[in-house]
Amino acid sequence: MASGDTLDRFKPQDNEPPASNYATRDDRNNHPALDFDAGTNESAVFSGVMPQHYGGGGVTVYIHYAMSTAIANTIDWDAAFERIGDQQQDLDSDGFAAVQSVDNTTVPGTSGLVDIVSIPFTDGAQMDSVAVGEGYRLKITRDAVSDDASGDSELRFVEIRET
Amino acid sequence: MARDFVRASSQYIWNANAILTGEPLTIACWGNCDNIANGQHAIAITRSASNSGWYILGFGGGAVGDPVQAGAQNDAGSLTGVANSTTGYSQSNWHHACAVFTNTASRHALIDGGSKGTNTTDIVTSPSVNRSSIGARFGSGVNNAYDGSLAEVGVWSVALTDDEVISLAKGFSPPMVRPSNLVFYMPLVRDNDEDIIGGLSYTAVASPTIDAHPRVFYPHSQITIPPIAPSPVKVPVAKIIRSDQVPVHQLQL
Repeated sequence: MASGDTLDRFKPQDNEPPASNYATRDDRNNHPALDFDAGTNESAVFSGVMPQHYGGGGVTVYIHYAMSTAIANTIDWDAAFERIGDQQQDLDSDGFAAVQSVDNTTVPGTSGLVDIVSIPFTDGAQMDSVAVGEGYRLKITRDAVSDDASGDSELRFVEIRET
Repeated sequence: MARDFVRASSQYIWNANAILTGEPLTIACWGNCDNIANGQHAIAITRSASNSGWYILGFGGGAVGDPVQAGAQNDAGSLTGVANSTTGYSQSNWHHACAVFTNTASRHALIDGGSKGTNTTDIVTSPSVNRSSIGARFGSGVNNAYDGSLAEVGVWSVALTDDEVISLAKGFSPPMVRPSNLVFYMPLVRDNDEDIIGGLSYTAVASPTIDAHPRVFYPHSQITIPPIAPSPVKVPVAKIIRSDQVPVHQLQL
């Protein structure tokens, strides 16, 4: 696969919510969405298997979101990978790598418009060394403690591309 | 976003059809109940002609220990059987509630996949139900209105097993548990009061509102990964010979 090609995609229905501080199910005009509160960091978790055509060039995570009501100020998003792999991760515990972030994005001027932000990960440690054919989890977190956009953000899609 | 009901305002949603008309059946939902003082009937299958004769999944705030309740009553109102879960709900926290009705003489109530309580009062004849409601028991009048949020309502035409109830309580949405017998599923996301299995559309009364949804796992959506573009394949091209150059004995006629 070439740079820029899609490796995986996730929708709100694919969320495997963590036990606490989870993004909650919502819909907007029949568009399924995941609500991330303002003021408290909440997360959504998605599982996948790194496809065989991943070329090892690192990945970029694209987050498609809208704001429930806010039309001003900024939002911060974090993403982190956890390698499940072949006998790499004990399922009884979490092992996410350090988060990578896209911060201080000014939210759309119309609350229903979907903005797309991206977070790059170099191959290796930033991706928790997820390799071709290995299971992994991707955690998406709104860093609401740090950002200042009011109200919920609504996650609509997540895409992982080869960088 | 879940659906939120205020008891004092008698908020509920309803439909002029009974989801099911007899045992076996299972009713389950997630409930975040704000009230530990009153008996509340979160989901009910009732009779329009009377307040007697029903099936309910309740939050028994008026009972000792605030149990989840599975209740059935005959048409005359003379025979009532209510099972109480052996532990109760805590106020303003999400709990999974399940009422399992095996037959007219057996019903179970479970909270968070366990604490199974059983009642074996024989109501003899299943009530002749013909309507359903969420947020209150709506028979000929409104009774035992619910205080708090509800979400992920499922009704099955079987008595789910204990293990299946555990799956629901772990957060798996109703379509992921015994889907072949799921006859009613209303996620209650925002004000979408639609049964997406049986097609029933519910009418809201007194403007119930919305609240944050509980933690639920849904069936994964289909993921389509673009195929790898095929590499060009070199095919040897046969030597082209004009037919007038082929020896006669080699021609295929």
